[in-house]
Order: sequence, then C-alpha cells, then structure tokens
Amino acid sequence: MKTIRSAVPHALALAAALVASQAQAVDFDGYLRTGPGATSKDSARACYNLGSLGGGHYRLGNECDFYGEFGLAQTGTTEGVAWKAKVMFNEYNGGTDVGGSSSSFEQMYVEGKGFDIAPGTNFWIGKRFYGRKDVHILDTFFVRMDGVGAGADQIDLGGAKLGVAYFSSDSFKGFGDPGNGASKSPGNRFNVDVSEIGLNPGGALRVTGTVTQGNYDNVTAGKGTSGFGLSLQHTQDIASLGGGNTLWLQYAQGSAGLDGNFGTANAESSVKKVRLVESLAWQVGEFGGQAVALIGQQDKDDINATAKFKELSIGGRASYALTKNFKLVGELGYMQKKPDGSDTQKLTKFTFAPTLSAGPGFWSRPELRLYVTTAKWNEAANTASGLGGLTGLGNGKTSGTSYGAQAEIWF
Amino acid sequence: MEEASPMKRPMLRMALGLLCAGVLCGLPAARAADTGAAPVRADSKQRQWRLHDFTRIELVPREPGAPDNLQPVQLQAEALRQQLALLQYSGRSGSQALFASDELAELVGPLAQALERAGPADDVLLLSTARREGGLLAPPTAITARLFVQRDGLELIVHDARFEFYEAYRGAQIQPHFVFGSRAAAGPASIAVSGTPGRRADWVSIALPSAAAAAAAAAPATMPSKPLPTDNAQGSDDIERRLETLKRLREKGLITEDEYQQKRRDILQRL
Repeated sequence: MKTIRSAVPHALALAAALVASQAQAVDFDGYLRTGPGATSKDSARACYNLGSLGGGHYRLGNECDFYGEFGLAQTGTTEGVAWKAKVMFNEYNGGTDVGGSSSSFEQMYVEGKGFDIAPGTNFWIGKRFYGRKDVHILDTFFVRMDGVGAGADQIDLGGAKLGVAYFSSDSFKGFGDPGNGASKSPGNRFNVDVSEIGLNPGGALRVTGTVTQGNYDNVTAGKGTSGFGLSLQHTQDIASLGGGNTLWLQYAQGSAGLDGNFGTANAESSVKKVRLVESLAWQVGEFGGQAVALIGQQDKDDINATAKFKELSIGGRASYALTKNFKLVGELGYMQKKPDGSDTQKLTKFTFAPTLSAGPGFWSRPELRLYVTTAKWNEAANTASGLGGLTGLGNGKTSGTSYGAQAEIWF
Repeated sequence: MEEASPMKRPMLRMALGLLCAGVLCGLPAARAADTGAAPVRADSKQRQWRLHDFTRIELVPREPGAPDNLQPVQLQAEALRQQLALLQYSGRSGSQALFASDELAELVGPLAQALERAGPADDVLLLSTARREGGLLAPPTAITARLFVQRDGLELIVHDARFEFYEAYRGAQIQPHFVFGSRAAAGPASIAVSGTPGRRADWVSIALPSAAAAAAAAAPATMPSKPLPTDNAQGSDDIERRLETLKRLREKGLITEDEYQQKRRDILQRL
C-alpha cells in the first residue's frame, strides 16, 4: 500500500504535466467529495442509514467519509483499430481526519475496436468499472458489473447491442477486491448484457444476465455456491421534463448479486432476492431533481444467519436555482426494513443545503454546499445496528442533527 | 498506411473463426462458416477514427436524395486547420471560435484522412468534445457536424456547436443522443466563416486549397435524385422548429431572456 500511496502524487504530477502539455492527448476525468461536519459536542459526526439495505442511503449532507477517484485515459486509432487504455486511482477515508485512508487502482484496462476479424466488436481486458447505472441520490449502482475480467461488447444485433464478459475474483468480490491470492473463496462470473433494445419512442430496454460460481470448498455448505441473476432496465427520455425515467426489475439467487456482480459468496442457491426500483430525473427551468422509490425482498440465509427481510425506500432531492450560481437544495428520504421475527426498522432523513454551483442545473458541478441534516429513527433501528445504535455514537437517541460543508465535483 | 498482414496460420484462423462465428463478432454466421472466417482488413476499409470517448470522425452513407459528393479529396492538414480556424459560432457570449486551437490541431489529421478515404456516396460525421471554456474543471461540450465536398468547397453543417451532455452523463449515466447536421433541416447552431454567414445559419462552405478545389471542380457533378429542400423552401416548418428549440433552451435556463428575444427576432426576420 505504501508503494501505491507514494505513486499517487507522482501519477497526479504526471497527469498534470500531460494535460498541460497536450490538452487533447490525454483524457483526465474524476470525482471527489470532501468536507468537514459535526453532530454534537463530545462526539464524532454522525450519518444516518439503515444497515444491510441494498438500496443505498440518501447521501446529501449524510456522507461522513471523503472519496476521490482520478482517471487517465489515452485513446487513439492506429491502423484502423481504435485503442483505449485507462487507469484510475482513488483515495478513500471513512472519516475526515488525516491518516487511515486507502488508495488503490480502481481501473486498469485496455480495449480495442476495429480488428480485422471483427471490426464492429469492442474487445477489452483488465480491471474496470463496467456497465454501471446508478441512482445518484442513493449513491448506489443498480447495475455494476465491475471487476477483473475480459469481454467483448458493442456487438450489433440489429436493433440491440450485445456484451459478454467473464470475471474472476480471488475473494469473490467484484469491487475493491484485494486480489492478493490469499483468499480461499475465489469465484467466476459470466455476464450477458443486451442493451439499446428499442421498445417505444425514447425508451430502451436492457437485459443483464449473471451467472456466478464459487470455485472453492465452503466449510458449511460443502462447496462453492452457484448463483444466477437477471436484471431488466427500462430507460425513458422525457423531453418535456428535461430528464428521464429509469425502472429496474431485478432478481438474483445464490451467490449472484442483484446488480450483476457477485453477491454473498457462500449464500445457498435457495436464497432469492428481488428488487423493484423506479427513478425519475428532471430539469424544468430552475427546478431540477431526482426521485426514487424502491421495494425489495431477500430470503432467509441460514449459512450467514440472516432472516428473511423486506425493504422499502422512497425519497428525492430537488434543487431550485435562485441565480446562475446559487441554488437551494433539499433532500427527503424514508427507509424501512422488516426482518421476519423482528420489529420494523424506520428512518426518516431531511437535509437542507444552500449551494454554490458552476451552473443552475441539478447536475451542474462543482458544488460547494453548506448543509443541515436532521433525522429520526426508531428503537428497532438502533437495536439492529448493535451497541452503538444507528449512528454508532451509542447514546441511545432516536433523532439527531448534523451540519457541515461539502464540496462535490465530477469532471 | 500499411495494410495489416493477413494471418498465416490456418489453425489460428480456424480457431478465431469459431470464436467469432455468429453474432459475437458482428458477422453473419453463414459468411463465417462459408469462408473459414476470412478476415476483413479493417485498415483498408477504415470508416471511423476514434480520438476520445466522445470525439470521433466517421464515414456514413450520404443523406438520401443528396447528389454525389466530390470525394475523395487530398487535403493538407495544415491548410485544413487554417480554414477551420476561421469558423465562428454565435453563442451566449457572442461570436466565438467554433473550435479550440488544440482541439483543431488534433482533428485535422484524421479529418483529412477521412475525406481522402471517403467516396462520392459518403458523408463525414464529426463529433468533437472538448473542455473549451473554463479549463480542466469545465464540463466538456460537443460539436456535432456533417461534412462533404461539393463544387463550392468543403460543406460543413453543424447541428450543435456546444452540446451540453457531460454532467448528466457523469452524474446519472444518461447516454447522450448526438444529432448531426443535415441538408434537409436546419439545426439550432448559427455559424459563420470570419463573420460572413453561410448558405444557411448552420451551413457554411469552406474554400478548399487550390489543388483540392481544382480536383473537386473537375469531378462530374450529379444532380440529386430528388430536389433537396432549400432554405426558402423549408419555410414555416423550419422556422417553427427553430423557435421551438429556442423556447426549450430558454425553459431549461440555457440562454437568458435577452438572448432568447434577440435570437427570436433573428429567426422571425427570415419569414
């Protein structure tokens, strides 16, 4: 890790030099969020989320970590083949203090299109983000086939595009996989992704299939577990709203995840999960936003001692631009989880954030925001989170208020 | 440009043929089976030059009803760069250079190759995305244009001079839908060469260097199979479409009220 940490500043310097000397030659992109915050005297900053939910959390004014990712890519066409090589490194800290952060190369891959044997197909090998589609306000990718793999995509089916990919993991994880060879639960994953299926004007269907296989002996189950997943995604442009709608219906069983990645490594194939997600984004004049509704269910998992549960999440973030550079942003979210045999856990969170921004749009970044977040939850949520309760502060409270400042940018 | 060496190992060819049979490689399955998957030499039929994720030059069949183009032409990249550097567009901050200088320096080589590779039945589509204003942290914007050679020179029809898509793409993975200039319908862009308007607000003719111009002029011209609508012929439909586009830009807050009113007057004067 030391090597990587010391490499990051050098990589940044190299990036800056390349970008400065050849503005168009190397692509530099990235994302970061960072900023201070507090909750109350004598305690760390608190964030508010129900644990173990697959649907993410309402993130505005509710991120106690800081995170950044920075990518360099070189693209060019040589002898008829369009090549692209990309690396991306990141920096993460679960809190805002110095030290204790981690860096890694999140992406490192090469792809090429235009080979003589298959001119229309894009081939790639490496570690990469793949096929991602998220709901931003939840900080959750509902399709995310990231990992170390190889594949071919952009295959023209005549009215749709096909992608096939194989991923292998030393530790049965698709993201942040240390890949150190020490794990005894490696896994294989195969994805088939059919996208851009035109269903209706402005609408497109995407079908993503996932097959997983544990390549190890599970002490409890006796062998590596297999899994299967299927995700249907429909996107709809809505010009009158200046945005669009995304609907997911997702199913997974065994060791496959709902998002097309690995799920729980040793979950038996009888463990089934299903999720329905609806998300709408809009920008009408100065008024922009994103809203989401999610319901899901996961079966009892005996091996991992988790009860069957149902989850629900509904909320949204809206922004209103008072001027070109100043907007008022608010986010309201409600989440609940009902495990069999236990009380329903409930959490409601609201954030108000006056924000300076590069432009008036909802997606316009950078943003410099001040925020106040207030949340209420019930005893069941505290109990389910362990001794520290929902906030981890261990004060037994069922409400809280946090405040702070945060910068967010993607470029 | 050298051609790739054909594969000389029959077993390797057969293996790759099997691998690529059917839809995997985008080739008809029957062809792969019949020919032993004889490779297609992409370099001799190159029709796309990819420079960045959202920057590419592509040869496509020319628009239906359009006359034969006078390609191929051989252009010197530097001469092409000098001509394209004269292009301006009317934006929020008044008249500005359409292309950034470093953007243009990168584009002209592949663009010259594309025009040399193109045939009479091809148009050239240009998608060029760059951070033109505000430096590294400014969101990139896209130029979408169609190019082809006719007697007057290099014809350039720009649909978008500054298409803003990147923030929604980065923030919500909303895939951009790029629309390129068209002979048949005017787009929202307004461009000019050194301040001189073109044949249509979104369409200019760029003088070719003398050698290329002579070659283009000597080429036989073919009349279109059916007449294309002219600026005048488009009449109220075109104006209505542009007014609607303008209204949408104002509603989205992309242009100010003053800019909206000024541009609206410009469009209505064409009636």
